[in-house]
Amino acid sequence: MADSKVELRNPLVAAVLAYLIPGLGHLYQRRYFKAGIYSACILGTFFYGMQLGDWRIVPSRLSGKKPQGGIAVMLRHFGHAAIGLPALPATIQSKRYHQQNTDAFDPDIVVIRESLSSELVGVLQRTDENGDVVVSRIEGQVKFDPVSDDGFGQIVGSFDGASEDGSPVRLELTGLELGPEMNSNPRRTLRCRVVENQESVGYIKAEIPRSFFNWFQMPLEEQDLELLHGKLGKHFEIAEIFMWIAGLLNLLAIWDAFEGPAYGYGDEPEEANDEKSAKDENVAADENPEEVAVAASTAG
Amino acid sequence: MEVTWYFIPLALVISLVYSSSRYELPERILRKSANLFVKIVLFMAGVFVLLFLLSFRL
Repeated sequence: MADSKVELRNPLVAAVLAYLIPGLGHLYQRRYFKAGIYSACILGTFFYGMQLGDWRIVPSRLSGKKPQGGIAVMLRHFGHAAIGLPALPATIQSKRYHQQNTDAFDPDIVVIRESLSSELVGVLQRTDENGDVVVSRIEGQVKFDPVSDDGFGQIVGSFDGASEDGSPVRLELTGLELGPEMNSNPRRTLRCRVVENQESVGYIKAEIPRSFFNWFQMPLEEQDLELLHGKLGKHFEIAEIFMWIAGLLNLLAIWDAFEGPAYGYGDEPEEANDEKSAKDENVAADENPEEVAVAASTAG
Repeated sequence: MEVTWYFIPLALVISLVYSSSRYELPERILRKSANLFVKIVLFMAGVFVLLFLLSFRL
């Protein structure tokens, strides 16, 4: 029940603000101490969970695929969604991700609309002059140009870098195969053929960095989920638990912003003291019943 | 970090937020949350000891 000593201002506005950003509703109500506690504890728990999960555990899938797996999974998503705005990036990214998939005509056909220039780390496999297959790690800069306007041109590119022994490597490339533009993995897979005198002499299997906005909080595919489980081990579950608990704690904060403190202002006598004083009175009554009766009648 | 230790910050956060939602005065909130934190830690320690004894020499 709302305590008259606590000024709740507009409780509905405060509750909405508290939902959006933990602590903001209390800041609006000028309850600064509580605003500090709620924001530090709830946001701290949520972002610590995110960090434990390598910033890749998606807090909610409010759009796109519906969560499957029964009531436990529904509660899990509810726990995540209760955190408010911090779960919003995942919702936006989920929309973008599923939009990307519906746009794709054929995932095997790679179309780059602008020049692609990026750092590359990977493996080069090529056949040397003697016909032997040589495999080496390479690192450097890769560049591809988009196809011609008619769409039928071949994507050609070049690599300029060095192999693991430090020797310079310069290659002409074609036959580009790129991983999807948006994915939860910060690294994007890249494969291409190496050509010399218009003949294929090997291939590169590598990874290039994916831009932050194209991986952060993107939905995890089954395969990525398994890889992340393998990488994080028990910390995967710990991270999820931190994030759920943050969401569930925010429900307490929202209710506090709407209705005020549940047990009162806090200046009332504590229950333990009450019980103790009640016990003392009972003991006194047993030892001196007449004095207690006189005292009671005088007080009454 | 050993996963068991994660419950300490979690217990701290839960005690603080729960007590904050019950009272308004900072001193009361801090005292109640300290009490709750100790209770949670003792309870968890009890469960830990019980499980340790039950799984002894298994």
